Amino acid sequence: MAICDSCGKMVNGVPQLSCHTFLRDYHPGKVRIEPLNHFPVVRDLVIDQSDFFDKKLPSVKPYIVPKDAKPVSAKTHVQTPAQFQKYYQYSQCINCLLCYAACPQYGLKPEFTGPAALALLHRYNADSRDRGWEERAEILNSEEGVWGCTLVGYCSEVCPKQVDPAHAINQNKVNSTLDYFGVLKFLMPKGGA
Amino acid sequence: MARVKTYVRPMRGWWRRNPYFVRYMIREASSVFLAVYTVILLVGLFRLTQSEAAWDAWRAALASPGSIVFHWLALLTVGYHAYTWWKVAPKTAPDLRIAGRPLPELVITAGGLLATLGTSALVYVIVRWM
Repeated sequence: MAICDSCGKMVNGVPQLSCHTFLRDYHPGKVRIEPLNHFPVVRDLVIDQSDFFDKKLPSVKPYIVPKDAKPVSAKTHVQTPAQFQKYYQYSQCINCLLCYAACPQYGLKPEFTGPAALALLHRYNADSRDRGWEERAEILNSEEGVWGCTLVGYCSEVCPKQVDPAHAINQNKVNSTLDYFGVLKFLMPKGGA
Repeated sequence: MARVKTYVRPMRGWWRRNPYFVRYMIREASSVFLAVYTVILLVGLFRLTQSEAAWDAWRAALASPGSIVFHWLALLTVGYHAYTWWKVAPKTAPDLRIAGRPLPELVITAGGLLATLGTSALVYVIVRWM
C-alpha cells in the first residue's frame, strides 16, 4: 500500500489514501468520500492533477543536477550513509497530493509551489551528488516558494510516507535567508561526490 | 492534453471545516494579544521617559478593571501561543541528529516548553525579589 499515488480522496473531510482506508474502522458510522480538496474537479472523484505534474513538479528540477556531467564509463557516485540519510526521508514521496489537499495556502493561492514539490526541491538540494541549488533558488526564494508557507503543518500530518514536507519547507526558510545574505554557497553540497 | 471543463470548489469558510485548521487560526489569532501587550509595555517605557507623574498615570491605568481583564486574557492566549510555538518548533528546527538518528519531535517540544516555564519562573522570582 501507499506505492502508486493514485487513490487519494477526502474521507470524512480528511485527505487519505483509499488503500489505507478500511470501512471496518468507520463502522457503524457514515463515510463521506469526496475528491481531493483544492484541485479542480473533472467529474465525480476525478481531479485535474496537471497543475502539479505539468507545472509545480518540473519547476523544482526534481532530478540530480551534477557539477560536471560524467560519462557512463566513469565510476559510480559514492555516498556515505550519513550523506544518504540527509535526503532519504524526502525521497519517499509518491506524489499522492494528499499534502496539497491538506494545504489551505495552496487552496487560497494556487500559484504556491506547495508541499510535495518543495519537499522534493529540498530532497535534491540536500543530496551530496547534486549541484543544482542555484538553479532552484529562484523558485525556493520566491513568495510562491517557501515563503508562501504559513506553517499550518497539516501536510506533514496527512503524509502517508512520513516525508514531513513542513519540515523540508521550513528548513529552507533559513536557507533562503542565508542565500539572501550570500552565506548559503559555503554550506551547500558541492556536487562532487 | 485537451482542456476539459473543471469545477473549482470555493474556499469560503475553509478553516471551519477541520478542527486542525481551527486550532491553527486560534494559534495565529493569539499572537494579536501578544502584539497588543508589547505595545502597552512600549507605551509604559515611553511614559517613563516623560515624567514621574506620567509613569504613575500609566501604572494606575494598568490597575483598572478593563486592563486586568485584558492582562488575564493576554496571559491565557500568550500561554497557548507559547505552547503552539514549541509544538511547531520541530518543523522550523534544523535537521537535528544524535548519532545519526533524528532527534524525536517530543524532545524539542518538551525541551522548549520546559525552558519557557523555567525562564518565566526565574523572571518571576527576580521581579519578586527586587
